[in-house]
Amino acid sequence: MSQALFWAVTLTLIRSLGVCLMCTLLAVSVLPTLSKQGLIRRVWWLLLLPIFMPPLVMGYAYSNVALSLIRHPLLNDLLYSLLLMMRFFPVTLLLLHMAPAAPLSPTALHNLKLGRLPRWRCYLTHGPGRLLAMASAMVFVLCFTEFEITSRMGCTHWTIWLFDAQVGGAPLRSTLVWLLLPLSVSVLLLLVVLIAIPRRDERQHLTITPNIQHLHLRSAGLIAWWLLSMLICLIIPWWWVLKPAIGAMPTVIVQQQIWLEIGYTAMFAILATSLIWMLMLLCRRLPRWTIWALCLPGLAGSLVVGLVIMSLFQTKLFNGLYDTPLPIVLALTLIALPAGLLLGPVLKEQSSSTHMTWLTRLSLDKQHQRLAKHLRWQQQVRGICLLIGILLYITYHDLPASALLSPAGMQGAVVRLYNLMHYGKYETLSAMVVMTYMLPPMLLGLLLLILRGRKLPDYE
Amino acid sequence: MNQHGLQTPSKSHSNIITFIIVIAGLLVLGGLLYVINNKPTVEQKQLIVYCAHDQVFSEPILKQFEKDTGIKVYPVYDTEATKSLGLTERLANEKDNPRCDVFWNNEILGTLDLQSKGILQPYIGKGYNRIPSIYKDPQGQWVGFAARMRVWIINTNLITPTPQAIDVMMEKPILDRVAFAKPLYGTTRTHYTVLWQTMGEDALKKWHKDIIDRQLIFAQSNGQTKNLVAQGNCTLGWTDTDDFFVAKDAGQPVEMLPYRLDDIDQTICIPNTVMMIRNCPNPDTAKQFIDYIVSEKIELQLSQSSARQIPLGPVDESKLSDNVKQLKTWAEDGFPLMELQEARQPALDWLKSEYLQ
Repeated sequence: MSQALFWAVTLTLIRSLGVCLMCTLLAVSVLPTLSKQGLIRRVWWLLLLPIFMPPLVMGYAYSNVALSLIRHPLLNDLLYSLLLMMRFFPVTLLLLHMAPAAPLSPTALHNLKLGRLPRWRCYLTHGPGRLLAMASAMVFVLCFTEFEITSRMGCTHWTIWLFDAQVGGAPLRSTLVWLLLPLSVSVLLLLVVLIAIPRRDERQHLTITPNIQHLHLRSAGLIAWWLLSMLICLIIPWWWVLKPAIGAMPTVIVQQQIWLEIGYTAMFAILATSLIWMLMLLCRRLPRWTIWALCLPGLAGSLVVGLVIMSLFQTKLFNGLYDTPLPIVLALTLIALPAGLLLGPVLKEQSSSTHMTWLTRLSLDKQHQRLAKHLRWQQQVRGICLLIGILLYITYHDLPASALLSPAGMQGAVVRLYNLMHYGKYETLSAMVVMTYMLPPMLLGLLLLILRGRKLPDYE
Repeated sequence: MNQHGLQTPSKSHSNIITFIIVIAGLLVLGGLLYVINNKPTVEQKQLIVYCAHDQVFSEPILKQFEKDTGIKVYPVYDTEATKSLGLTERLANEKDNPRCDVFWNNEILGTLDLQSKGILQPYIGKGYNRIPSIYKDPQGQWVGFAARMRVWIINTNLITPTPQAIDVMMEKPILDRVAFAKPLYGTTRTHYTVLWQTMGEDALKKWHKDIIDRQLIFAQSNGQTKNLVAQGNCTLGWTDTDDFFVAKDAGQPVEMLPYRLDDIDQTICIPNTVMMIRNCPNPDTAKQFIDYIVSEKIELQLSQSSARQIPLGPVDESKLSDNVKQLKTWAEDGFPLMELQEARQPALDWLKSEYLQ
């Protein structure tokens, strides 16, 4: 094994562990405020905004800062880690907030402790530690497989090593061998996630009782953190992009080619998301190890998935389908499938209260029916929409596989942006970035509003 | 549906999924209709071009070709994202089932690689004949045009842009104010291959170790090198002329000097290269395109772009800017890159061992 690869994997491992631990600690300390503090409870979704910052724009925005730190690699690494933390902290929070309760309540845990079971074992295997492990592992995998930001900031990362190793062509077999070490790390953490997600029959009437000490202080901390991450992850990068975009927008908006490329990207993303959804439905009837197996290709990263699919469609058997949208849709499906299969059980699982909601809907009282609609949104539709949004986000923003597999004449908008970014910042590019990245979430937001329906009833 | 006419939870889920699938289906249908409508008819000619040259400069030329000839062009662009494996590898893998007609490459090492693998189809046309022999294959397997040059980029706020100042800077014991791009890919790899050929393997390895020991900065790309110098983080570095002009046009305090090889005093001028693929589906349109792109008209157009590419064939000099006239003079001393055929692979193997082991 290459020493450089081993070093890159080790550094990535240390950084990812640091980021996921910090994210988990922060999330645990502020989690009670989400359910107790009135204002935060209503606007908790605002905390998620940094996740939806396109990584390409973020890397682009901070590439110059990274350049000024080129003689201070440690500082550069710290900046990169901070960006990862701000970006993925909402993921931890979201998972902990929306995940089903741990199998055992604090009371039950206490009883187990009395039964002389070691405390840590009770906590990790049956208690809230299990959920924490799941959330941490998920964030770890996200940090460990990150490519776009680090490629712009020049930090040591195994994904960059793998990218460099392809120079002048590398046999697919070698690429797969190189992948063994990083993939083993990801798979190990994935196993933690799979084991930690509570099974359906374990989810009855159990909650984590938060420690509610210093709740106001924690809320203030959460708000301060949110403001900082909004500033660093959203406001500064978008300000750099939006400011010059305004002047060029009228010119860019009438260019048919840009609309066409956004259309292609969106079409491939929607097709892949639909395929993932169908696979998720299929997986519900299959044993858990099949989920594990289906997640494997996606964990190898977009570049490797793109290379493998390309090799497959270059063989005589599949060559007839090479220049069609099939390879790119297939690749995007594999890339986003782990997110779908892992987040699916968390975000779209039904609880016993779901049925109660449907029963409330049977009421002849119109206010009860409206209330049921509101509850249904909270219990189910919100999670489903969020899941679809995440899948669309991943598939829409993919770069390496899209660059490799788009059919001739059907190049996507994200690939074009990446190419143009090579020439630095200018007005037209900024306007194109705004169109490519802001239009789809706006349309999705509109769709959500339509799904949510009428104004919700006041109910206490 | 239950007795009250309300749907059960599972049916509601099914509705959402059906909704998504219907939307997706409509989009696919729309996409397919679009593709079918835009596919050329039997009478309409078409051309598939793999293009490694930057899309921002090549796309207008491809559109113009479509407009001038009526031939429908399907481009596949290379990206920075895939630069290390890009289109050259793809062409090599597609050797038995070629779908590309013409490859417009923005450098020469990949072209030499394809030539050695027997992937190229010779074609000697109008365009080929106007290019000097140093920039084309004698058998017509490829032809060069519109070149870039390897230059020193210098921050004028920090030093005076003279060859002497560069020498003084490069003799300092610590080189942490000098930047090169990582020589694994792109034109810096070509630059290193030229050094391998001219200095010899041992001398190059010794020099490379020396500059690493003296803390020279290796950036991710030529663009990043340009930024390091333009922002004053570094005093000087190696880059390409097109990257230099991005900084110059943005009003940054930079100047350039050509990189000259020691002893032989030659410059490194890296042309675009264009070639027809063996057994390509549309050989006639491919020939038409090669003649078109290696014409005086296109060389002039590329020289007038913000990249200021250097015309290699004869052109109307009165239409060239002062910058390009200067570059054209330097290009006349260009190193014959065809000689890199043998050095190409061992140099790459060494670079890989340096950066990836």
